[in-house]
Amino acid sequence: MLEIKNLHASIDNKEILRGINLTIKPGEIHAIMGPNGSGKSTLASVLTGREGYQITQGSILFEDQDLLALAPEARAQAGIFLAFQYPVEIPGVSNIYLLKAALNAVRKARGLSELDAMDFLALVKEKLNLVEMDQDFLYRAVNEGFSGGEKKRNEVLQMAVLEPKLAILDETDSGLDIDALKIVSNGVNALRSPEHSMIVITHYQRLLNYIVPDYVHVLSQGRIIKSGGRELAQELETHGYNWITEQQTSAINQAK
Amino acid sequence: MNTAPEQAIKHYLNEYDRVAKQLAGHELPWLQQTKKETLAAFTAQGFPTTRHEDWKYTNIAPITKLNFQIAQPKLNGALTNTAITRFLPAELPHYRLVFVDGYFVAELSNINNLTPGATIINLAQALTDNNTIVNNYLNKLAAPNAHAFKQLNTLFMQDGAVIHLAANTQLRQPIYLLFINTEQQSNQMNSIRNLLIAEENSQATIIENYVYLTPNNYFNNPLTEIFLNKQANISHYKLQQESKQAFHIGTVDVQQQEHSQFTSYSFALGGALVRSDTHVDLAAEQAACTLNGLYFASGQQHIDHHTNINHSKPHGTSKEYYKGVLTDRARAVFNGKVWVAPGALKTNAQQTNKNLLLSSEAEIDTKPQLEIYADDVQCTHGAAVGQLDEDALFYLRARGINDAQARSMLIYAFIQELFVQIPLLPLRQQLQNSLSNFLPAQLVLGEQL
Repeated sequence: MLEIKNLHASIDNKEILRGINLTIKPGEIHAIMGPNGSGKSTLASVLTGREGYQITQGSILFEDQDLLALAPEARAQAGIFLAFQYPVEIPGVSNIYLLKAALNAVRKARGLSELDAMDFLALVKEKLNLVEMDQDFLYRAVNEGFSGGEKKRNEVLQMAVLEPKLAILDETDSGLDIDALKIVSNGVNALRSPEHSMIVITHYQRLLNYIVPDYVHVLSQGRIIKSGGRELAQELETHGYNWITEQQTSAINQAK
Repeated sequence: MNTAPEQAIKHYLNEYDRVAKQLAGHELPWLQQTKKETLAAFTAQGFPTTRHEDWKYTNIAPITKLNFQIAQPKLNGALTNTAITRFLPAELPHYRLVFVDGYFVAELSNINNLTPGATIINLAQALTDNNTIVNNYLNKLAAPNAHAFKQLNTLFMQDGAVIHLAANTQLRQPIYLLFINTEQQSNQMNSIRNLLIAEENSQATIIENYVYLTPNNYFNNPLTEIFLNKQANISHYKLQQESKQAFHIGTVDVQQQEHSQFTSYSFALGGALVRSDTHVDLAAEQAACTLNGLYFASGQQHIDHHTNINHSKPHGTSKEYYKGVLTDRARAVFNGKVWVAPGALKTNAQQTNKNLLLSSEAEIDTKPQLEIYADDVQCTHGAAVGQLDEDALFYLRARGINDAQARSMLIYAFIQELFVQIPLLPLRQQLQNSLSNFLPAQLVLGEQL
């Protein structure tokens, strides 16, 4: 489904990603962990097409399409979704208008007709229940005045409505208390299926107790320095990131 | 050697000689006297230049270098009720006066079932009848130092709407004034004069809509005078949707008595070079006015709004809220003057002007101008200039919404509060439809964003 090969990316000529290789198959959940500044959010931005990044080497294939050639909206229409680390407040645009415009855009790209008002509302209500949000949220401006937890739940609501093939959760756990974390995780888990894949970017192991990954990758200084199963997250929690970066350093020294 | 402005003065003096005897009311001695004085003032004063403080940012040379002429008072006859339907708000019952190339067309108008107590008549007819309304009120708000375009309007006034609301008359339907330019001749000038007198405790909504059939460089120079007696309540809409090659210099002059309420909505979407003046005199205690405005300029449009509110007496309230969206190389001016007279205690004046610049070449000159000569007043003003939020734009695109539609949503989000304030829903819908043509992509605006 997703194939990242030797990806190098820079901001203002400063190299952030230095050769990422990652393959994700349908239905898989990959967790990407790593210390601050390791390049986790940059990877999410590059995958979704945010401006300001130069791709200096490498390629990204999504369902055999050259993802880097697509505009952000075309990537979303192709089935990629980013749950933002910092969801943007948009005064004057209601949640429901955004949901409808986004769903219709995505459906149109998939060759489906627009949902009529009744079906749309029924779908949205069902998804609202999933993230335990009140209907009032639909008629409020996107994220405006929302608490941190409400913003994250709103991201998961959008994800649930759009049903992306590949969802990227960028530190969706940050700033959540344990109750909100459970609600958000339930919402995410409801989307798990053999067709839907996910990249879960997180700093902490905590989220992975609820969204259990198939694979865990550790990102450091723009490279994946270690990959493993879900138990790798547990080891990281116990030993800290230094444990791996030191292993890495000694390995490099031995090689020399 | 004649400079261009002198040439222009000469042209309009010649044009006045040419058409004066064709214009309605030319035989009325009182009107002759008014025009004689205006002619003298115009000849002496001439056209403003950018050296005048009030015209600092708006150069009217593109208008003065063309020799505009009043159209002949004959109809081109091609317009039918069907042809003008697209200029009318659907599902909004209204009284209607239609003016084509500056002249009233009875066949396109309709004031059936007019509420008793209301008089609606076209100006040419009122002048021909020497109606006491025009005799008593016409040009009574003209200041001695009025600018050249107001003077030109007085000299050339062809036609317009004359509305009188007797005391306690509450109009059931809005009055819709439609001004259509048809390109009957090139370099055509339309000189419309409207007059509204709202007697004590009367209430009405007036809508002026300026539209065109074929893009051309015509010049609309309308002037509307509005008198509100005690406790009168008037809502006034001005929809300026001229051709992108046309010139529009328009004035609304308002005088308010005690406890009257005037609410104005100005929507400026068209025109190559546009100047719109609104002047409100709160001439008695407890008078209140609200001036809302929206301008949306693209290409090389230039749209200038000057508002001027005189707080002449105590306990007056004025609220001003203007928003602008500028793209390409468009330029706009907002100059909001608030004058608080000595003794106008407990005045409350609020002014806000916010602008969204969509291109680095667009330009806004926004200037609050508060002159306060009384103590114990509350006067606030604020101006803001911003750009589209790039983070919000990316957020929407990351949800699958294409760039043009995402931009349109954010632009509309910026201005929609001005639409939300319009109580007449069909009119709101009509305006939203007009506006959506100016957005990068079509939006479904039937519902709120």
